[in-house]
Amino acid sequence: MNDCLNDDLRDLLPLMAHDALSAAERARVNEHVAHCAACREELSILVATVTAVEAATPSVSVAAITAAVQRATIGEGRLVERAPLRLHTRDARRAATPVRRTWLSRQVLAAAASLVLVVTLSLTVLTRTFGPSGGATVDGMPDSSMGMTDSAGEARLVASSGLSVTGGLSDLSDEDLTTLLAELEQVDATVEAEPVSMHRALVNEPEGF
Amino acid sequence: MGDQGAAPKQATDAELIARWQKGDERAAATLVERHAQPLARFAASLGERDGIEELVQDTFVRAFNSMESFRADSALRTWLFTICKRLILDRKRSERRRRDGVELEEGHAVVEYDALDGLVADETARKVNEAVARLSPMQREVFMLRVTDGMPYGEIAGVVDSTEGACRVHYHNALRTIKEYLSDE
Repeated sequence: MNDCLNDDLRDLLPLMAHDALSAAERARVNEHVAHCAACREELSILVATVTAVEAATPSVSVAAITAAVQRATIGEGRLVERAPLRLHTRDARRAATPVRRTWLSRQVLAAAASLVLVVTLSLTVLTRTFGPSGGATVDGMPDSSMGMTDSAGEARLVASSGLSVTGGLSDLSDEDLTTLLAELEQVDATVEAEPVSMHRALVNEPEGF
Repeated sequence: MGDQGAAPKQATDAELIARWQKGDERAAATLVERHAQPLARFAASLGERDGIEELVQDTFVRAFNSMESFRADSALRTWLFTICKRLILDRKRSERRRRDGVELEEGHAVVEYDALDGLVADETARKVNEAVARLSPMQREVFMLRVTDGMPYGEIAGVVDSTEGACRVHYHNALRTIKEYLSDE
């Protein structure tokens, strides 16, 4: 136990041992230990301890540890916005590739695919509705919004057209495709007759509708 | 207290954490650079010899993965040392379980301590290490944190889960034990 009563200065001894004091504080400690045997002995023990521990401590790679942290924490609980960085290693550049961009691309593609399907189904329904054979009928008016109902509504409309469409156009049989194409051609020719066709559709309700 | 002994105008640990959370990877690199070697020294002071860099790496990965649970009222280094200490304990438990089938006691990070005898050329340092090996685990932890890191007693208390006053007592008891051993030699 150190018999020195200067607690403030004794608290500085460990910091002195691993060189963490300012020049002024170091001078103060040196002046004290010059005439305090207890603190001088304590300081020598502390320095010896630091020396031993430093000898046993390997130098760790800050770059390797930082890269490991980046790999482990991409997207973990942080805002996505990033400051512009100068990335010097391939690992750092790879780690900084925004995952969000890929996610957005997938969402955009999915939305585009859905839109194409909706438009295709809507065209199918419309042609059946306004076709001369009147085979297709639907509830209500076949306006442009009908094709944009939700997927359940679209399924009902498709089912009422008489076409068996469980997926895309590729799922239609040859016969159905032929019918569809024929009706598409008739749509062009009978635009002005739409109100009459609609009336006919209301009168000639298909089976099961 | 993230900038202990640092030059003026250096960002504090809290500032660097905030920057990292907004996507600044350089802030993470600065934090690692600031605390990696002290963590390695802490692990060595507790008797670890192999896989120290892996231990330090695991400490940082765990810390950054759970940064939202870090409370700014304690120093980041204290928190890092606590994580490192738990990893050391887990490692020693695994080794013990494999070797003896015996569970380590709770309450202290390190029960075993391998002196650095073979690694220190200086005679005094070698003797000091032999003396340190005779300390209780709590005394050794407190003594090493105070000596090798210059950690304030309040922060040491956080790492070893004790009080500041108790840590002061542990440190001075450790010092007395070492002095007595050296005077007997």
